[in-house]
Amino acid sequence: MKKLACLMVVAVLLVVSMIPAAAAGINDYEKKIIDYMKTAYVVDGVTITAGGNFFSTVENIFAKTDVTEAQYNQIMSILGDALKYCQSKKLVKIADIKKQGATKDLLKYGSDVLAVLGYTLSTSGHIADADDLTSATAKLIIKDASGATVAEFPLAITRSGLAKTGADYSAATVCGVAAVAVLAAASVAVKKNRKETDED
Amino acid sequence: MRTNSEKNRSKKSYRGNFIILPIVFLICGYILFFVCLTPIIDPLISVYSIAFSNANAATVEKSETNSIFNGTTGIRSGILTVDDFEYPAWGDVFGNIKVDNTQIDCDLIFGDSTPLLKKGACMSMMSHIPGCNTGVLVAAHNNTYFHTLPQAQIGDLVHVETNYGSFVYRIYETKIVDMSKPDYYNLYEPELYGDKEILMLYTCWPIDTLASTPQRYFAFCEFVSGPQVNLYE
Repeated sequence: MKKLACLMVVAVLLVVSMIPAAAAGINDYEKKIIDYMKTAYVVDGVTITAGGNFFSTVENIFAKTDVTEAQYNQIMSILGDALKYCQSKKLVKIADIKKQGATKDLLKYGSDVLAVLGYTLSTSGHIADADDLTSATAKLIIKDASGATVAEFPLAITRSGLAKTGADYSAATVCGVAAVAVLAAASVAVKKNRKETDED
Repeated sequence: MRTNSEKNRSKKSYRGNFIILPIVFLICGYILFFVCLTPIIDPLISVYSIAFSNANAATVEKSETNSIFNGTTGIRSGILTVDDFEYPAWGDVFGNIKVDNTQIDCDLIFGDSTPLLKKGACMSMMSHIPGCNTGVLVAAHNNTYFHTLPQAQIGDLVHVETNYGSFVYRIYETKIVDMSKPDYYNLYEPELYGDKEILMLYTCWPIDTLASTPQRYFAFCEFVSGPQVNLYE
């Protein structure tokens, strides 16, 4: 009976340990990762850090996840490699990233960090094949294992963070284009008719 | 006698005048007709669906977003942790926003991509959810949800209901941020990443413009009441 009870307890513990931890705010490991990213990147005596927009996004993502100790160690190892890379390339300013052609390499480190959490990182817009971090269309998209979007934002090191809130163009633009097309067609017709009248 | 070139020109002119132009007019006319009638057709289809189909009213609502907001919680103070409520995921409707003296009364969505902006007011993930003692950045289109934002006056209240609490803010400043100017972000970043809870509502400016512009109309709102959220364990 004792053996059976022990087996059952072990079985229950195993099952419980396999269930991913539910989000419970930003835990100590997540806080350490954020602090590391804020302070550890010192290149040529200059501490380089992303803007507040980047860290707000990270906090929003961490609020939905629970980084474990093993994941923390993996992430810190990748971040350490990223730091060495930044130091070797002497990346101090945003312009240096473009000058050194380092965009893709840096995104690869970001992608590796997210892969630890089961997320994927993709890009859209202008950055996929070019080292341009300031393009207005450049976007990073983070998805979870099921393909659902976790976050979508302009590149973290651009400063804006503001969305395009111009009029929803669907109806207005189609209407405008159609009206212009009618006017253009009408003017062509009038010109043609005039020409023919003149020739007659 | 007409020469061959005159005959060809006449043929081309015939094609142009009697075939191509009518087709162009017809297509453009149909597009215009369709666009003009869309606002009338959509409600008619909805009414038809409710009256004659098996679908219930809920299925004809436009929103396809996941909603975790079920009306007011009645929580207007206190301290919450992330354990106490469902933290919104990208694209979730997690609240509602109303602004006094305007017609703003719409869903509050987590994330601010182009598709989401068609569904309501969107909170940027580059800011924080209400209650975190820092900036909350909310955007919506100028021709839809935030069209009447400039009607709000300093002192007007903004009511934000979320799936974890009820918040009230007061507008204390409005300004236009021109993104084509250098360092424009200094006009809102101190509030966005400061240690005071400031709600920033913004939309494209001028308000009646039909395309995205480099200018944004901002309403800055100070915190009046609501629960505090502790993101950290």
